[in-house]
Amino acid sequence: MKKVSKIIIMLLLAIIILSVPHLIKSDYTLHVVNLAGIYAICVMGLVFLLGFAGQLSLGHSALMSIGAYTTGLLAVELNLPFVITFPAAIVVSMLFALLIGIPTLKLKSFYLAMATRGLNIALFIVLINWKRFTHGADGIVNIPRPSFAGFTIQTERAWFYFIVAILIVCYIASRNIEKSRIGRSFKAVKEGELAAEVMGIDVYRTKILAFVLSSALAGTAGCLFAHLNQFICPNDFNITQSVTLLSMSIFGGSEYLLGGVVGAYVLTFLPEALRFLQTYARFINGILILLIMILAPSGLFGVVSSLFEKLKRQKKLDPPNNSPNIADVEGMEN
Amino acid sequence: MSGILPQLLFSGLAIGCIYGLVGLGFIQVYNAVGLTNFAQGEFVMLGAYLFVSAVVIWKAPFWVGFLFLLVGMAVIGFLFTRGVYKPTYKAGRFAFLLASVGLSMALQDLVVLIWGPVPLYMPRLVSESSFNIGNVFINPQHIIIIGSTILLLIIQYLIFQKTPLGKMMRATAQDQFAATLSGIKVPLMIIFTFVNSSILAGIAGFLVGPVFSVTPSMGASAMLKGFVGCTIGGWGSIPGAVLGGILVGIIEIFSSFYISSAYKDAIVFLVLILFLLFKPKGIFGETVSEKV
Repeated sequence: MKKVSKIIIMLLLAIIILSVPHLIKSDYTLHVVNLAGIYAICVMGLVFLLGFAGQLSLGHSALMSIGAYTTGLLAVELNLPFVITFPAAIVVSMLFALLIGIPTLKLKSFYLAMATRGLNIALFIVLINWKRFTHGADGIVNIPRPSFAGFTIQTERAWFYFIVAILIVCYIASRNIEKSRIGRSFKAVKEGELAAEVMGIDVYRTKILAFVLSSALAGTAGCLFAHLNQFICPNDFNITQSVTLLSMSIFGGSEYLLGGVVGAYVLTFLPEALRFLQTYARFINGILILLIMILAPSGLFGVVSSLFEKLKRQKKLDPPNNSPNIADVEGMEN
Repeated sequence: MSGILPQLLFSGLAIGCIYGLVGLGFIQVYNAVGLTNFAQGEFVMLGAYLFVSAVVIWKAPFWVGFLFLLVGMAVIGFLFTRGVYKPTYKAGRFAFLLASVGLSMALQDLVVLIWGPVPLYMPRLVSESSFNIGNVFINPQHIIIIGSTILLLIIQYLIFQKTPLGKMMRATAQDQFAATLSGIKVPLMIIFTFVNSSILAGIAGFLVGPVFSVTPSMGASAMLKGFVGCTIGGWGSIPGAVLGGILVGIIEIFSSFYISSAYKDAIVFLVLILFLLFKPKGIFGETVSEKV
């Protein structure tokens, strides 16, 4: 019975997803949907890091920029096909995560936060100033569309299916990792490093693994971003962008992969809907983070799931509430 | 060329004093509650803006402006404790950190909304023209920075070592539970610590304002360098934070002279990574009691 309902839900979801690009008429809106999908991939990486392993990165857009610039430079300067630049982008961003993770993850958690913010600032400076290599503030233009066996992903509609496919693959992979031994060791490290160490988990390695996996997702997102927009510049990946990614992950609930996805879509569309408030965008974003942390630190999914649990508990509590009456009646009879 | 070395050292020392003050505020909060405040840099910026709006916009005399800065920063520190620290410190490990990140971003934009995006000019106490001592050109503002930092450090030392209030604050930083048992009002001491650190940041903004212009983003890089200074000095060590900050200032000035001024922030970051790799406890780290 449960399996049947699951299949029905999956089918409904598939129909909804497949019909989205047919319902949305304007190319621009579809482009925003696609961007949100790319951010969702990156935010899942943040969920990995923050929600599962309990490590904070304030510079995830820097890791995205590494993916984007790797694929952009390889594709434009060396004319390499997407099949090669895509894995290269992921590998290089994982290497950068190793570079930052090895010195900082042995230490207390705020070191990673500050080091990733530092990476964000430093990389931005390098991207702007190292003109011969990165093209400076002008950015990289004319990044080719990816093509496989003669078929090029050109239209926004094609991009929609492409991104959703990658998003689903990333989600399933992440979900499997979450449920595996690795995912459990992430959560053990988050709950308490000493306790995890006692249980035989190599805390340092586990944290590095979480950061590197997270960076792989950021690199994937960065690579897709470069090929979707066909243009990247250092400003696409500044500190504000990193904080926006963070607020996406905590809005949905940093412990839930799907929460991150929902957060990415909502917070990409919110500024579009509130365009008249555009001058206040950063202000609103900052206040939003502040309010979430004060009012509901577990995010949207956290609030909803705790509500469900409360309902469940109430249902379970109901019979015992009635039983005293029965006991009273029985007592009277005696 | 021989004249350039003391010149660079002197400028580095002056800029480093600012980072030292930012780091000092970081360390005090860290020692008291074990958290890092990512809005500390924005407090530097707010201090500068408060002073500028009093002196330039309302045409108040200098000392009134300074008083306004002190009172304003104290109020901000109090509100920060009540509005950000208190509701978040129990809600998990990163709630406070993330909330302060959010606040710092909101403050940067709030400043633009109130004072506009154009950099403001901060009036100086002393003349702008620099003078020479031997071969060294000296910017009078640098002397003010160094002098005020020394004065502030002496005041901080007296407060924390000699007054009952300072002793209670130190007791709170060492062990909150034991402090409570001794009848110290720990929440009040935490408020005082935040107020003190935000006043320090505000004064840093007042001192650095005439050197750089007063902009919404002036705090962001000061915060990173204050943090690097704390790391070099060793987290938890108060002299370490100040000396580390000064070292960062000197590194920054030297690297912008000998390597490239465009890359100076990236070089400071490189120094951070190198320190974390090879000497993560910092220079004064050995004497620090580990907080678990």
